[in-house]
Order: sequence, then C-alpha cells, then structure tokens
Amino acid sequence: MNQPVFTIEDHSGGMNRFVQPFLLAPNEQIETINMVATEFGGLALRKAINPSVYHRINDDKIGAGRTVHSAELLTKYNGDQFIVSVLDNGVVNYAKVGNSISDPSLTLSGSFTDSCMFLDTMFLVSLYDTTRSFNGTDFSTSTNVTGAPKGKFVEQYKAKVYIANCNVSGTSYPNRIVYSDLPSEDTIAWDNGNNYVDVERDDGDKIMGMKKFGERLVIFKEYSMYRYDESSVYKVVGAPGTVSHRSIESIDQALIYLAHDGIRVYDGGKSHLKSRAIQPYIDAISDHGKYYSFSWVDGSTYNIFVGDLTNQDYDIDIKDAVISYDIYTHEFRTYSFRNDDVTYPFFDSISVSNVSTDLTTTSTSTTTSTTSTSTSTTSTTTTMSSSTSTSTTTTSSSTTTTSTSTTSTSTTTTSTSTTTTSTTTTTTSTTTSTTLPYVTYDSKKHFIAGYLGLYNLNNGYNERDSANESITYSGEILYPHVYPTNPETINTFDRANIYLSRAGNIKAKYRIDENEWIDINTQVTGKDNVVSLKFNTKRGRGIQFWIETMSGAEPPVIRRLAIFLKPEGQQ
Amino acid sequence: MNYLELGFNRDITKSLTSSEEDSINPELMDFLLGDGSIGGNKITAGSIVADRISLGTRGFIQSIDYTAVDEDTASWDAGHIYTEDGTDITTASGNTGNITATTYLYYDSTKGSTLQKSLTHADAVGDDKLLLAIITEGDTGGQVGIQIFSGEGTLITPGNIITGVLTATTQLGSGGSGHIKLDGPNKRIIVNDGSNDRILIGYQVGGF
Repeated sequence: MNQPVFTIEDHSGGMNRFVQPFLLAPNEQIETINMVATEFGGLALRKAINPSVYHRINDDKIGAGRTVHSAELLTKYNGDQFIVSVLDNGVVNYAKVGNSISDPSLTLSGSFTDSCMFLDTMFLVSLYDTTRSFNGTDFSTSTNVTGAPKGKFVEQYKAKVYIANCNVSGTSYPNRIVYSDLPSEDTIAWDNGNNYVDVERDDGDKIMGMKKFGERLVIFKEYSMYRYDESSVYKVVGAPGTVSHRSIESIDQALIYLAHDGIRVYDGGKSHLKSRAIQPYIDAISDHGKYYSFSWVDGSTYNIFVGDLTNQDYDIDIKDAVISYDIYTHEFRTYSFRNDDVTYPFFDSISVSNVSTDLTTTSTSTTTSTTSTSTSTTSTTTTMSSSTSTSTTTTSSSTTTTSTSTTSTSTTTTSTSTTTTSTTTTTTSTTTSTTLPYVTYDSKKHFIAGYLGLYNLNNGYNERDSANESITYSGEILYPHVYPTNPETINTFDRANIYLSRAGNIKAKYRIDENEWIDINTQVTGKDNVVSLKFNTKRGRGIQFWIETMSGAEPPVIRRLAIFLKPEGQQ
Repeated sequence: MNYLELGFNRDITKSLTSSEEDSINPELMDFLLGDGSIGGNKITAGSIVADRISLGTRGFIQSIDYTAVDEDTASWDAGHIYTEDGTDITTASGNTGNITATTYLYYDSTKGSTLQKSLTHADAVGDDKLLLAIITEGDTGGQVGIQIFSGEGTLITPGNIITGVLTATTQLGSGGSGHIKLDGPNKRIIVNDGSNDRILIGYQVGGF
C-alpha cells in the first residue's frame, strides 16, 4: 500500500501574514525573501544587483564615495536617452546612454526631486533651485522655464507643464499647482499669478506627488487624493494620498502607490488597499523608509524599496528591503538587497528602455606605493561588436589620465590582470590608463541610484564579470504550518522530497506542531533534481518547512514539496 | 476551508452581496465616485426645494419703499425681503447718492443688511445676491426712474415711456384720483386741483 503523501506544488499565492494559519490558501507562504516566480507555481532565487562599474555612472569624475540622490531619464524623439543624476553634494552629471559621462558644471543647493518630458525636453524641479529644462546638452533656466516657479513635483498633462508644491517668488504654496500656458510654436510661457489651482489649501496637508492617469491628473497629498480635469479639482472619496511621489507607478489601467496604511491601487474611481495580506510588513516600514521609498515596475510586478523592515511581534527583520506585488496574481514577495555587494542607501530608480548594442568599456587601474607593501591590480579592456569611441584627457593633482581613441571593427575581448608586490619605501601614488566608464544597458533595464552610483538590477550571479562573481546571498521560503490529514489526526512523518528544476544546493529546516526548528541537513545537494530529507522527530499533527537556496550559477527553481506520512488516528 | 472559500478575495476583503449592492443608491455612488456631477435626468422632478438651492436662484418678494428724491438720487426705507424658503431678511435704509449712470441695487448675503449698488450689471447677480431695483437717471429737474423687482411702486421716468404706451386711462400724480388724467379711449385730458376737476380738454358728458 502506498504511503500517503501531502504535496505543495503551487507557490503562486505569495505571502500572507494577515490570515490565521488554519485559513490560509494552500498556495500561500508565511514569508519569502529573495524568491521570484520565474515559472508559474515555482520559486527561484532572484538575480542580484550588479555593482560592476560597467553599470554605474562614474564616480571617479566627481569624487569617489558620492551617493546618487536622484536619477531622471530623458527620452528624445530620435530615441536618444539621457540619464541625469544629482549627487549628495549637489553636483549634476548626465550621460547619454551608451556614452560617457558629461559634467555640465552645475551644482544645486539640493537635488532635483522630479522630472517630466515635454517638447523633447526634460523639465527638472527642485524646491531649492531654479526650475530647469534639459535638452540633452544644456540645463537651461530660460528655455521654456522663464518665470516658472520652483517646486517639488512636475508633470506634463494635456500639453501643459504642471509644477506642484510650489515656491513662487519666495513664498511657499504646498498645496498649489502652477501650470504653463499651452505651447506656441513649441515654446511655453508661465503666468504664476493667474495660471494656478489650489488644492484644498491650508488644510494641514501638502501635495506629495502628481501622476497623469487617462484624461485626468491625479494629485496626491499625504492624507488625501484628488483628480483634476483642467477646470475643477475633485476629491477621491475615502482615499489616502501617498508618502512618496517616487512610489507612484502606472500599471495597466491603474495607479499603484504607497500610502501610510499600505500599498494601494487607484482604478480611476476608488483607491483599494491591496497589502492587507502583508500588513505586519507594512507596519514594519519606518517613517524614513516610507518617505524615501521608491519603486519600479517590471512587467506586471510593482517593486518598492522601503529600507529596513523590523517588526519584532512577527519576527520580521529584513535589511534594505523591497516589497514586490504582482498586480495580476496579487502575489506579495520581499527581497533584501543587503548582501548584493552594494551599499545602502538607495534613493531612486529609473528604467531605461533604449538599448545600445555597440558597447565599449574600459575600467580603471590604480597603483599605490606606500612604505610597506603596495598592490597593483587589474586592467581590463573589453570591446564588443563594431564601435568607435573617443575619450578625453584630464589631469588631476596626483594622477595623469591618458587619452584613448579606439576604433574596432570586429568582436574581440582582451583582458589582462597583473599583481605586483613591492617593498619600496616611496610614497607616490599613480593612476594609470583610464577612460571614463560608460552608462550602458543591456536587456536588464532597471537601475537604482544610491551609494557610489547607479546599479543594474536583476543582472546578478551568472552574468557577472569574474571580478565581481563572489557575491553570496540567499533566498528563503517559510511555508505555513500544514496539517496533511487534519489537525485532529496524529501522523508519523517519514521524509520529504523537494523537487527542483535542476540539481542544486539548498538548506532546510522543519518543525512539528510549532515546536523547535530542526535542521535536516546543514546543506544538501540535489540529485536528479530531487532532494530527499529524512526526519528525526517524526510524530505530530502538523509540520512546517523553511527552505533556503543559495546564490551561484543558475540556482534551481523550487517546484514541489512532498511529505510522506502515516496517519495514526484522531486524538 | 480557507479564506478564499469563505468568500474573501485576495485583498482579504469581501465583495458585497447583490442585495447589499441593491441597497446602495447608484446615483449617489456615481456622484461620489464620478467627477462630482450627476445628470439632470437622475433628479426626481420637484425634489429640489428652495432651501437646497442658492439664494440667488430662489424666488422672493420685497417690502421696501423706494423714493425718487431728484433726478439723480433714489432712497429707500428699511424693509424686508422674503425668499421662497421662508427666510425673512431685514434690510436697512439708504440712498444711492448722486448717480451718474444706470445703477443696480441688490442685496448681498455676504455683506449684511446694507443694500449694495453698482454700475455693472454683472455685480448684481450671483449665488448670494438678489437684484432688487434698477435706478435710471431722470431729466434735469425731474426724478430718477426706479424699476422694482418683486415689489410695489415702480417709478417711471418720462424718458422710459414709449410713444403709444399710454393708451388706456392713466392717472398721473398722487391722491385718490390723481391730478392729471390722460384718458385715451375717450379722447380727453382732465386736470384736478386736488379736490375738483378744473380743466377739461376734450369732451365729457355733463362737464365736470
């Protein structure tokens, strides 16, 4: 007679910490960290952030160790894309995607807080600096922005530019939206004294963001939201606003955003709270995490970075956390960026949709000699496909940067690496051969801005270059406590099989009837894509599993969990 | 039995039953969740009563006595305005001063009991306003004309009388029978001294 088997084959339910365990759906989990559904029903370790210099804006040009506070994207009619970044010291730089960094010698008092595209131009706003327009070359304070107010948020709506939470001639209007005139021969003018609308002013709240949505402009305050149709402002009944304008995204036919009470979806009529299933995680977001949260959309998935999650009541402790929500499957997941070889904080994200297949990159090499031992490491040049590039020559106080002009007509890769140990007593410092790194892009298009630059998301482990391959992070699945027969029946649990997409290393723990966790093996290796787990403690009503999968070349998809048991009878 | 089988959705909220949905006024939901507008055909005929509409669109009647002081001044006594929802508005006495053009006299609920005047007609209408009278300049030595709305005693200046208008029996002046009677149908004019008819132009059977 075959032994009864209880199986979990569908993981598509996502996390649920709101419903008591007896009422959970069979495909839901208590918690997952760093796991994504690469195939329906299965879960696999997410790909990591790639900290390679190939994927971040050069910080050498403006000083190492700088944090990127904001990143905005200009897409022009001809398809050219430009990334504009502001560093923590207010320095602005920009790069045409596929080209080197440019320094416009512009330093701000703060940082651009928002941008929008109109008239083949990017409009950039800040509450502390003059509103500017950027055409890919110049940051103008006159072209289309003469007389424009300062402000925190900007959006293009029905052929006008709207600036919200304004400062007009030194006076702050946190609930005012000033809008431009309609374009005349592709030029817009501003009349701040007449072209404005106040959104329930002096109510103790303030505008926190705007987003165009169909035929309406949706206006978010912190505790309320509104829609505007060029003539009137209508309050959305019962809807809270947002805590961060960088949390507002448009997916399909809805706006999704973070409010104080959780992740919400606005469908044009009502705002729906979607994150009730992970309410303990929402409660775990700090105020700082809320106000500095930022999001990006990957397909049907909304991802929002919220900083550390800490909730002792629910044993939640996730560092540098992202909450992910699939708008179609209603699946919630969490990720942790803590072990991705990149350093918190992060402040912004951009998604680059254009691609430059011709790619030329050159990394820096530095030699430092001290009174003891010095080490010279790595010089790597990679040339891909057909391309031509020309770099500039710069000189600093202690370094010389040479000029390089490269023309290639074939696909070649050249890599050199040297290590030299010296006991010289000289104290000279030399930097050799460099061209500025490039902002590049491949099929993984999402970048986050933070400490030391822009980082390419979802481009980790098996696609990293050799110099950065040693990243170690893991994914975890905490299953709910399940009762394979029913809660009234005592079972003898024999073993479990975990079915994987390919052989791989995993860790696993289990506990029976919510007693102590028991390691099954420190680490087990799958054979024939199946990991078999033997139980030591065997008797009880229910059983709970925790499975961890580690980074490495192509971690497996976890597809199925089968528990072999023998019911003893009801007690 | 899990929460989905209990009728909750993935948001862990529960949809309304059909009877619960039926209990919600769809017109009200349209109003709340739409753009704040509601179609006229959704309003039951006669359901909008006077106290649901603005003052400026309510019917009213006034009991204010107006006086034409001279050719460029009108005055009025304290009085009342009664709106159709039953509101009794007390107004103060006042005068126009010397007007230089047609002047609109109106009540503005945001300005209190003192009646307001303006040379601009648009100033005299609005949600909080009731147009009470239009005052026009008279000829030199004459009197202003006062066109009163929803009240008694309209005073007309000669310039506002169009040829052919006085075709019926008309009495000019104060007193029980007036001092001058223009009797168009009988083709005569009679001047009275306050007690007796003294001058007859035309024919009257039996004379005076």
